[in-house]
Amino acid sequence: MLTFEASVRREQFELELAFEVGPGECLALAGPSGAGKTTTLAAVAGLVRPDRGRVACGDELWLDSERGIWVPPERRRCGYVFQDYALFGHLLAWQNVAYGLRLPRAERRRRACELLERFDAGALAERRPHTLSGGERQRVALARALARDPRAFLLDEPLSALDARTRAHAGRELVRLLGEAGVPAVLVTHDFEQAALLGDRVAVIDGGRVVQQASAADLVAAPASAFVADLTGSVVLMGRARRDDRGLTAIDLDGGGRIVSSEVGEGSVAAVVHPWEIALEPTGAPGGGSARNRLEVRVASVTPLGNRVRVGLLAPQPLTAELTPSAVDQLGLAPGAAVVATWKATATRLADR
Amino acid sequence: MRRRLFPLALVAALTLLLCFLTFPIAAIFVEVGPGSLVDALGEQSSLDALLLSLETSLLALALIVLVGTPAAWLLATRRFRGRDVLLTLVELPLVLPPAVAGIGLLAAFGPQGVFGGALDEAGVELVFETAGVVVALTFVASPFYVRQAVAAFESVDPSLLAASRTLGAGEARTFARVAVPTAFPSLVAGGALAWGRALGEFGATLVFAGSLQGITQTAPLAIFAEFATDFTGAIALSAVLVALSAAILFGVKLVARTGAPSVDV
Amino acid sequence: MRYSFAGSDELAAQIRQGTRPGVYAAANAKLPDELFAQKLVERPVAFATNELVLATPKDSAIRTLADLEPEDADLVVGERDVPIGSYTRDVLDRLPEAQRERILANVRSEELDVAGIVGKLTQGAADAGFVYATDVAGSGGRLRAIALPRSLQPVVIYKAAVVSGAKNPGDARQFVDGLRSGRGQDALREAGFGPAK
Repeated sequence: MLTFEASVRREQFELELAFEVGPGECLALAGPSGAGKTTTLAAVAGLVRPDRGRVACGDELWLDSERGIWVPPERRRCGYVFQDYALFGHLLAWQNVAYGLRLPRAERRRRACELLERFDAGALAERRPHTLSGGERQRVALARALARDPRAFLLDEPLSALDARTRAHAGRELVRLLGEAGVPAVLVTHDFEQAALLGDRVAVIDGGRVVQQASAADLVAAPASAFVADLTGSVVLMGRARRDDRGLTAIDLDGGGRIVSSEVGEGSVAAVVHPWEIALEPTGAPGGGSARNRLEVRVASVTPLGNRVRVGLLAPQPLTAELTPSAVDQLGLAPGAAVVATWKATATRLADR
Repeated sequence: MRRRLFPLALVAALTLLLCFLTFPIAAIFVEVGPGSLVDALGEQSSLDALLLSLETSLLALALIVLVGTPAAWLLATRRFRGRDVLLTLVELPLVLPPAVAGIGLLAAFGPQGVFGGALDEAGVELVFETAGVVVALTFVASPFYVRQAVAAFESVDPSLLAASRTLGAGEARTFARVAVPTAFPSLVAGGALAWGRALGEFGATLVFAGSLQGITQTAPLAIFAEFATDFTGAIALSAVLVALSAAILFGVKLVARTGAPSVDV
Repeated sequence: MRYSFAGSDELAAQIRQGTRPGVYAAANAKLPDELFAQKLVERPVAFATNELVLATPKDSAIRTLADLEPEDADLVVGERDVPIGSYTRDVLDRLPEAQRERILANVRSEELDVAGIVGKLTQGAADAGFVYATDVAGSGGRLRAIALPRSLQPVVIYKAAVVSGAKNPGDARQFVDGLRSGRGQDALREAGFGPAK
C-alpha cells in the first residue's frame, strides 16, 4: 500500500494532494500539462522534496515532515519510467537494465538479459539506445525499472511517446504487466483514454489539486465539473440555469441558444453531453421527437475515425457529435453547412463551472 | 541575385577567417626546411624545452581535470546566491594578461608573497622550480576547462540523472557513472583547450618561474630566447610546437568522436 | 615621433626581418655593428655608456662577488644573447675558473631582458642579479648596487644608427645627434648614464 500526502510550493505552482494505492492497483493521475502530475510522481520517488507531507510504502516510511524523516531517492526502491525513457546513451541496452543491480558481473548480465526476454526485447541486449525505436526503448525502460523488484511502480506518460500503432499494442502489454507486478502503481498522463485503459482508478488533477477521483466510467458518467467533463471528452456548454415552468431546468447558453436539462441547477453552470448522444437533423425538419433539446449549429469540421465520424459544430460554442459515416453522407455534412443538433434533456448533466 | 548574396557572404567570411588564421602557421612551415627542422630537434636545448613543455603541461592538465571536474559539477548542479560571482572568479584568469598573472602569482606565492612564509616553512619552492611552471600553467589554463565542464554538465539531460537516482545510485555514483560519461565529449574538448593554452603559455611562466634550460625554460620561452639570435632555430622549434599542438587537437577530436569508453562498472 | 621599446636583440631581429624604423638604438655596440656589416643601418655612433653592477634587494646580506659562491645563493642573469647577459658573461669570464663555476651554478634564471631581472629582485624572488647602474638608480630605492672591480667592468657602450631605407633620414640623423649632445644627452646624464667617449 502506497500512501501519499504532500504539499509543494514553488514560484510557478502549488501542489496539494493526497491519495492511496493498494498493491497490484494502478492509480492514473490525469490532467493537462502544468497541473503538477510529474511533480507528484517525482515527489513519490523522492526526486522532489515536498515542503510538507507524508509518504509511506508498505512498512517503509519515506517522508514525514513532522518527524523530520526523509529518505533520499536512491534508498527508495521505486521503478520509475520517464517520459522519454531516459536510457543511458553511453551504455548498451542490457547495461542499462543492469545499472541498478548490485551483483557480480556475470550474474548481472544474465539477469538483465532475462528481464529483457520477459519484455520480448532479448534481441536488443547489445544495442545502443539511440539505435532503438520508440517502442523498443519503452520496453528496455520498463525492464530497467523492474530490474530491482521495486516496491512501487511509477510511470510518466508511458505511451505518449509512441506512434499510434505501437501504442495500442504497448498499452495492452502494459495492462498485463501492471496486473502481474503486484505492487502499487501510479501513472501520469494528459490523455484520458490512456488513463482509462491503464488505471483502475483515475484522479483528475488541475492546478495541483485532485478535482475528482473515481473509476473512469464514473468520471465520464458523472463529471463533477466542466473541467473533468472536458477532460473525459464530453461536450461542455456554458450558460445560466433557471427553473422553467415545465419542471425542467432551462439553460441560457453563453453566446446564444437555449437548452434544457432534467437535472436541478441554478445560476452559472456547465451542461455536459456525450458526443454519441447528439443526433443531427437537417434544418427545417419538423422535429416532433422526444428530444427536448434542439440547437441550430453550423458544421466546422468532419473527421472520420474508423467506423465513426466526429463532426465539429459551432453553436456558437463548440460541440462535437459522433455519427456513422452513412449518416454523414445522407445529411451531406460539410464545413459551413447549417444543421440542427438534438439530444434529450435527460442526457444533459449539470456540473460546476 | 539577392537570394544568393547571403550564402556568398557566409563563404566569404569563412574564407577570410581561414586564410587569416592559417597563413602565419603555414608561413612557419614554408620558412623552415626539413634539414633545419632535424637540426633544431638535435639541439639539446630544444629537446629539453619540448620535454619540459610536455611534462609541465600534462601535469597541469591532470591537476586541472582532477580538481576542476568536481568543482564544475558543483557549479553546474547547484543554484545558490553568489553563484554568478563564483563563476566570474573562475573565469578571471582568462582576461588577465599573462604577465599580470605572473605578477599575481609572485605576489601570492613568491618568497615575499602572502603565502610565501607558509610555503617556505612547508619546504615548498615554486619560483625558479619546475613546480612553479606547473602552477603558472594551471593558473592560466584552468578557466578554459572549468567553463567548458560547467556548460557540459549543465547540458546533461536532468532526467538521466534522476533515472540514476531512482535506480539506487547516490549523487557520487550518478556523477561518475552517468554525468561524466554523458558529458565526456565536451569535457575532452575543454581539456584540449586547456592543454593547448598551457603548452603555449609564456608570460606568466617567465615572470613567476623564470627561464632556465631543463628546469623552467619551456618551448615558448626557448623560442623567444632564440628568436633574436637564431631566427631559423626559433622557427624550427616553432614548427615542432605547432605540429605537436595540431596533433593534440586532432587526436582529441578523434577521441571525442568515439564517445566515452563503455566501461562496465 | 613614435617609439618602440623592447630588448635590443628583439629590435635587431625585427630590422633583419624587414622593419624600417628611423633610428635603432641598442644597449651595446655589437648589435648595431652587426647590422652595419649587413648594410641594414648606417655607421653606428656611440651616445652613452653604462656600468654593470651587482644588484641586490635593499637589505640583503650579499656584499661582494664572493658572497655569490655559496650554494644557497639565488642568482638571476640575462640570457647569453641579450646585451645584459652577454656583458655579464664577459665579467664572469674574467674571474678565476673555480669561482666562475660556483657562481654560474647558482644561476636560477636566464631572463630575456633587464626588466625581468629587476622584477625578480624587487619581488625578493632572487638574492642577486647583474643589471645596469641606471636600473638600480631607477628602482626607487628598493635595490642596492654593488660596484664591480675596475678590472672586471666590461665596456658598456650604447650605439645608435640611422636605419637604411628609413622614411625620413634627415629627421633620424637629427635625433641621433640630439642623443649625443644637446637635450637628449642631458636627459641621459640625469638618468645616470655615462658620456659617450
